[in-house]
Amino acid sequence: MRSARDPAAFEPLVALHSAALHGYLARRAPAVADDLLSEVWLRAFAGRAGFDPRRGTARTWLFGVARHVLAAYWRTSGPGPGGSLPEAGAADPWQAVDERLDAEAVAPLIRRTLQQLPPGERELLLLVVWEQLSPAEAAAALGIPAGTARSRLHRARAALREALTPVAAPQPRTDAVTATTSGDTA
Amino acid sequence: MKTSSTGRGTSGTDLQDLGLDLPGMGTLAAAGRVPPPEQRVVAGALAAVRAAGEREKAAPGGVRVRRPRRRTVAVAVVLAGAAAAAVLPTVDFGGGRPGASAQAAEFLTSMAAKGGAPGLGGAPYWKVATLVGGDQPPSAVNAYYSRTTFTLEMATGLAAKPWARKTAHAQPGTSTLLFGDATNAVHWDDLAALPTDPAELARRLEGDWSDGIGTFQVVSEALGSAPVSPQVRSALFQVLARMPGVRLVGTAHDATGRTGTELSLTAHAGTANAGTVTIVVDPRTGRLLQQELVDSRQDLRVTYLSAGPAARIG
Repeated sequence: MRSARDPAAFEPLVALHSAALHGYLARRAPAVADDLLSEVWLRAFAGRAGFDPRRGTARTWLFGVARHVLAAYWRTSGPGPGGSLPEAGAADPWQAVDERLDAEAVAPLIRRTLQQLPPGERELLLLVVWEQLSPAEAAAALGIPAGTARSRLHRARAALREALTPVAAPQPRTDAVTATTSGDTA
Repeated sequence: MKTSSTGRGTSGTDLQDLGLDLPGMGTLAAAGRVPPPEQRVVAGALAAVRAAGEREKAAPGGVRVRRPRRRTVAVAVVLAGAAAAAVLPTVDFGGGRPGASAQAAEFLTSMAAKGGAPGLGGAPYWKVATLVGGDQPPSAVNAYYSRTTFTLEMATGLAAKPWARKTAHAQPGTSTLLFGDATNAVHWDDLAALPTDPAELARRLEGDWSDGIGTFQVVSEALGSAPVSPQVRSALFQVLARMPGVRLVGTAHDATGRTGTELSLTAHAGTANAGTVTIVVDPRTGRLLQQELVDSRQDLRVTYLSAGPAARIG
């Protein structure tokens, strides 16, 4: 990666990836996304010598940097032991994500199912669905083995399928399953 | 079912390919759509990078990578002896990482057998008293956790009174965050379900920081501040014992002068999250005395004075 040594060569990356990185930040910390975007690029620039193309693309590496910046923001946005507990529950991006889902009228059953997923599975799923990373790219961004990512995605998919797929029954039912499928406009 | 783009990646996948073309998932994908950043925001980021490049050119030595700051002298580290000092396996992120040093693993495994602090015992609060320092003014911080609230008493300057107090309430449908972050958060209601099997617990607490520091930090944070059961506490130590790169430094003193055994995990400078986490453990009791994170942004030291049930705040 030429930009590991040449500051000027790094600049095109800003134009190329800012929209995706800002989207990632805006979906999880909308109030501070603009500020965090600059922090992501400064941190990436400072650490660019550590980018290893054998471990993933620049894009996935940048998402990894963005994750660290977001985590650091949550950890230092308020006082607390370890600087990590600004508010009860505030270090989990789920609340911001759930507010977004609520505002966009995503079916309550999907929200409940996502809420019940372990945070690691949920974040992986959202990286895939929202950031359009492949499972392998998401694994690189999260710094976890690709096999672990596949397992997490498999579990998340199974949980969603169990919750969202209407079950064939001897007699038709018109209960919650039907109600939760009405929001799919895709 | 094809899903419209929510990002702008070049390797986008769709829900069908992923087996996620389930009822309602289209709205989930659509809910991720956000407007692109304003031009001034991208221009600001670019200007910040250019300024950093200019500073770099002006600095001697060419490319300058952020490196962890030196530890503050507040923690007086005293190596136990030549044997401990000699065992410093190098962590090389270019290849495979060594496991915890044999000495570190042996020590941590022995701590797993120490049992745990008293549990909540029906008390409404769990109180954690700490001193927070590092590169910031020292502060005394008391944290009170309940199922739905988190209250901080904080005094900057050790003799400052009265204490500033702030309470946060968990959102409806959730309980108070105890430790962890985006991928491994543990809330009050999660405590009873935490695995006691070390391998399962490691998966549950796996941090997303690629060098393992995130996991190391959250596990030690749990040891220092969370009302976990003795069985989980034992498993937490075993998780640390199995972590690659953890090394035993030797005997050390925490910020209050208490003697313990120091262990550390370092991510190399040059990675995006370079830094070192060190912990000091009381070898007699297994209590976590202190945790310190030093990275390019901060030097944050938390000294745990006590942790236990409390009948009231204050």
